[in-house]
Amino acid sequence: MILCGTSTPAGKQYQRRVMVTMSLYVLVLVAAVWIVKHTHPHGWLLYTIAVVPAVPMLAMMGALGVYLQEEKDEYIRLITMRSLLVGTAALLAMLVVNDFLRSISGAGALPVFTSWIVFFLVFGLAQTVQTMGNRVKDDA
Amino acid sequence: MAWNWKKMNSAKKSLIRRGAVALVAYEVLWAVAYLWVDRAKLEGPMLWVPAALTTLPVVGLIWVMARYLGEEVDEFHRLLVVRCLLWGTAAVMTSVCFHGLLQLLGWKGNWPAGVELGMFFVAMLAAKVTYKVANRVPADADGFMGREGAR
Repeated sequence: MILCGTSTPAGKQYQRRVMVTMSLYVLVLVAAVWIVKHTHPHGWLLYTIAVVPAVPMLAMMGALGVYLQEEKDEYIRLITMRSLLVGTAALLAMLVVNDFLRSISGAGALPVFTSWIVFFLVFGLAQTVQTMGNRVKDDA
Repeated sequence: MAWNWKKMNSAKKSLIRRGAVALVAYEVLWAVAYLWVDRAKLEGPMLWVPAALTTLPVVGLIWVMARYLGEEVDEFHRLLVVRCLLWGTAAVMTSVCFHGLLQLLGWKGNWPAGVELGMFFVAMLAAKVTYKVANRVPADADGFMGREGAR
C-alpha cells in the first residue's frame, strides 16, 4: 500500500517531516497546558499560548505542500491530490453542518481536535481506497 | 493582475463558472434551510436534514476543483491550485485548533458561525494573489521565449 508515496524518496522525506512536526506538536501542547495550569494566564498571553500549538500543525500542511512539489511519481501525486480534496471536503462539510446547528439551535462547537482527526482520517482512507482500487498484481 | 476572460483556457473558465454556481447555491440553500427551520419549527434530529442540505454546495465546490485538476493541462497551474487549497485547509485547521485550544485552556466564549469557512476562502484567495504576484512574467516574456524556442 502506498501512503503518500512512502516508497519514494520524497515520500520518505515527507514521513520524516511529519514525525518531527507531530513530536513538536505533542511537546508544545503539553508545555502549553502545563503553563496554563500553573501560571493561569489571561488576555493576550492566553491567546498567544493557544496559537503556538497551531504552528507545528501548519508545518505539517507545509510538509504536504513540499511533498507534492518534490514527488516525481505523477500517479502517486495524483492520488495525494485527490485524497487532499476528499479530506478537505469532509472537513468543510463537517464545519458547515456544525455552523448551521450552532446558528439555528445554539449547539456547541465541535470538540477539540475533531477537525484534525476527521481530516487526516479521511485523507488516509481516501489514499487507501484509491491504492487498493488500482492495485496491480505482481505478474501483471 | 487584471482578468482576461478571452485569454483564459477552457478549464479555468469552467472552474470559475462552476465555482460561482456552487457559491450561489450555497447562499440560496442556506436561506432555504433557515426559512424551512423557521417555518416548520424543526427540532432534534430533524435539524440534521437542513444542516446536511447546506453541505451539498460545499462538497460540490470541492468536486469542481477536482474536475479542474483533471481538466487543466498546465502542470504549473494545477500545482498552484493545490497549493492554494492547502493554504485554505491550513487556515481552517489553525482557526479550529486555536478555538479548540482556547476552550481547552479555560476560555468560555464561542466563535461566530461561518468563521472557518470564511477563513478558508480568504486564505485561498490570499494565496492565489500572492502566487500571482510572485510568479508574474513580463508581458513580452512569452513572446521572447517563443522566439527562442523556435530557433
